[in-house]
Amino acid sequence: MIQEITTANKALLSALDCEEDNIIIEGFMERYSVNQEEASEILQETKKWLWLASENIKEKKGFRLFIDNSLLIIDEMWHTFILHTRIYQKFCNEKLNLFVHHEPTPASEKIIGFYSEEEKQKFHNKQEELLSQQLSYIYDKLGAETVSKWYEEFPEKFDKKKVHSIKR
Amino acid sequence: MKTTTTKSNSKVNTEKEQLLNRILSKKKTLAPTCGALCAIN
Repeated sequence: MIQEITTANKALLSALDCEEDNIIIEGFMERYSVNQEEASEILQETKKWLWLASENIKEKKGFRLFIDNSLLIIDEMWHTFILHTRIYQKFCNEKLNLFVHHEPTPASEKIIGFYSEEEKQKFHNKQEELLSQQLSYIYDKLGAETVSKWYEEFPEKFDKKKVHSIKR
Repeated sequence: MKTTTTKSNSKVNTEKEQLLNRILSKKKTLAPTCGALCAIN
């Protein structure tokens, strides 16, 4: 099972390979102090995320994938990717057969506080339920390695403070 | 063969549950998320 998913992941990355990857990697390295190997890995993971997002839309799963602080570095790479509009459009059209929009949460929808402990608990329970659903979906589509990289390795290596500190 | 498949699937499910629970329990100790930063549709 693990071998199958690892092989499938490699095939997926090969299928998502683009001639213009280096332009995005260079663009990211201009904005963030990371080496080429790190930037390349983050781009690979971002492309996997975009592929997963397109699958989720096509499959009409009834829930939307979301980015939280764990995936901050993927979100930053996504921002770099969409700056290169032609390359991003080509990637979406040719590799995903679907244009994946980037839709930031409006400021008015961001939670800044709670009226009560009960309300706070309710919010956290809902968040946990959504995250659990998303983790399960990522596991089924991309395997344990990806779940662990996105939600264990990346948050440790690129937490909010670190991402701010490497911004050029 | 049927038994092997069942065992294999159950092992995978256990591994999946363990990984997901590990991440979810860590999340509780981290700063709480304030909802999605970005969404796709």
